[in-house]
Amino acid sequence: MAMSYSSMVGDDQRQEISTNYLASQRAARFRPYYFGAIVFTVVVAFAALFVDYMIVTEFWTRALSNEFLELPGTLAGSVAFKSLQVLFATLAAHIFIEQMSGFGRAVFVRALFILALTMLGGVGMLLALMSLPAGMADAGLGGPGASLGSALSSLGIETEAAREAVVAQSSLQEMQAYQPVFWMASLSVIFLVVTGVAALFLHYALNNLRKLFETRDFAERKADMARLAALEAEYARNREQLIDMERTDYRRNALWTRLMDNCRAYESGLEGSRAQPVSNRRMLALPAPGRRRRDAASADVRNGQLQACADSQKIARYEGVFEDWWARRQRMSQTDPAAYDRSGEVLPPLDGAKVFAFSKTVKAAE
Amino acid sequence: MSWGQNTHKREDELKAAGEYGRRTEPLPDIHLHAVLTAGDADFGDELRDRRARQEHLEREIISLGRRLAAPLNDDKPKRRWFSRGRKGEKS
Repeated sequence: MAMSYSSMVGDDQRQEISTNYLASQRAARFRPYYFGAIVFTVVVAFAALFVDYMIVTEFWTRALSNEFLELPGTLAGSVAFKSLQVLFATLAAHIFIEQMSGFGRAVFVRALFILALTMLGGVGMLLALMSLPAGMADAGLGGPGASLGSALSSLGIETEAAREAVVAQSSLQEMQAYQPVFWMASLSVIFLVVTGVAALFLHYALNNLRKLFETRDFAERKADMARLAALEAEYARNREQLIDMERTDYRRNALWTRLMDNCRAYESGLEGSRAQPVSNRRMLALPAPGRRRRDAASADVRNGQLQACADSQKIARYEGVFEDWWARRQRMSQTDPAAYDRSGEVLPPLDGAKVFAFSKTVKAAE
Repeated sequence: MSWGQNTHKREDELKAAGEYGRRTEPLPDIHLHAVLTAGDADFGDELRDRRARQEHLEREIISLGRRLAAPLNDDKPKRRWFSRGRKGEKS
């Protein structure tokens, strides 16, 4: 009977499995990229840590040095330890980033970007001041213009340039009072930018490391897919075999085949017995009295035995025995069905309705 | 492999049948009944084993199918802020 095979895995589920497999395969192809990204981000993070270390070292050196920028011997060794706090600052920033939501992380990145712009602006301004054109420098403080203005003012002639120079001088003195604050603020901005970059790159490195480990999923998924296919093939084969074995005529045929195997074994044994007297024939030197009669009697007995064996080998006899045994079995199976069907003892049915439907299908097949 | 093949019981049956032949004795009914009864028991055992295997396979396939069909990432889609991208895209 041809029976349609219904898979245990639904079409939707199979589609999901296929989609997941393709996604996993695609992720596995990115393995070298993730590896390279880890190397790159770790290098950048360590470079940022080094920069941070140098910044904080400079800070502590300036903070602890004397007017000649020399460190006392006892404090020289502690600067390195004090500077190593950048490591913990970076780790703290990294933990802070990990705890952030997407919104917080977005704010953090944008704040970092603004600080970086400020830093770049500050660096640009410094460079511009350091490379002012000579004419502008002359118009400012300390140039020939300023000297001329001061000379004229000493003669009692106040010029416009002299007045501006006095105003600029007072502004510069006010600025110099805030110089340590500006210096500290600039250092903090640079420190925050570099620490933030190091923490972010650590975050990226860890993300890529996680993805790198996730690419191992493909190998396991591939093996699982092969296993699923093998299990489904075995399930289908077993199902077909079970459908056959549940049929009564299949069982009868199987038992009849086994009976016939025994009959063949009996026949081969009998053939050996028929050949035995010829091979064991003894050559006697002299005739003994009564030996011919004894030989004839034993031959008669043996012929009778062989005839009885031949009679027992008739197919009608085997059929009769089989039918007799089968009728008795049918009677006993009706009296005590549990003794002949012990399938329920092994495992409880997974789904009662499914087993019922399966049994109905088998009965319909019969 | 079919049921009841290559078992000691089956070999003993065949040896006993061959022995009857070598002794030039008719194959007795009791031997035939014993063969049929043993064969029926083997058949029942095989049927039971196959049913149990089928149950096991069913559970294995269902669990494996569920595992393979599970979403790859359990993370909920994240909303992106300060971004012009579509909502739900992962950063």
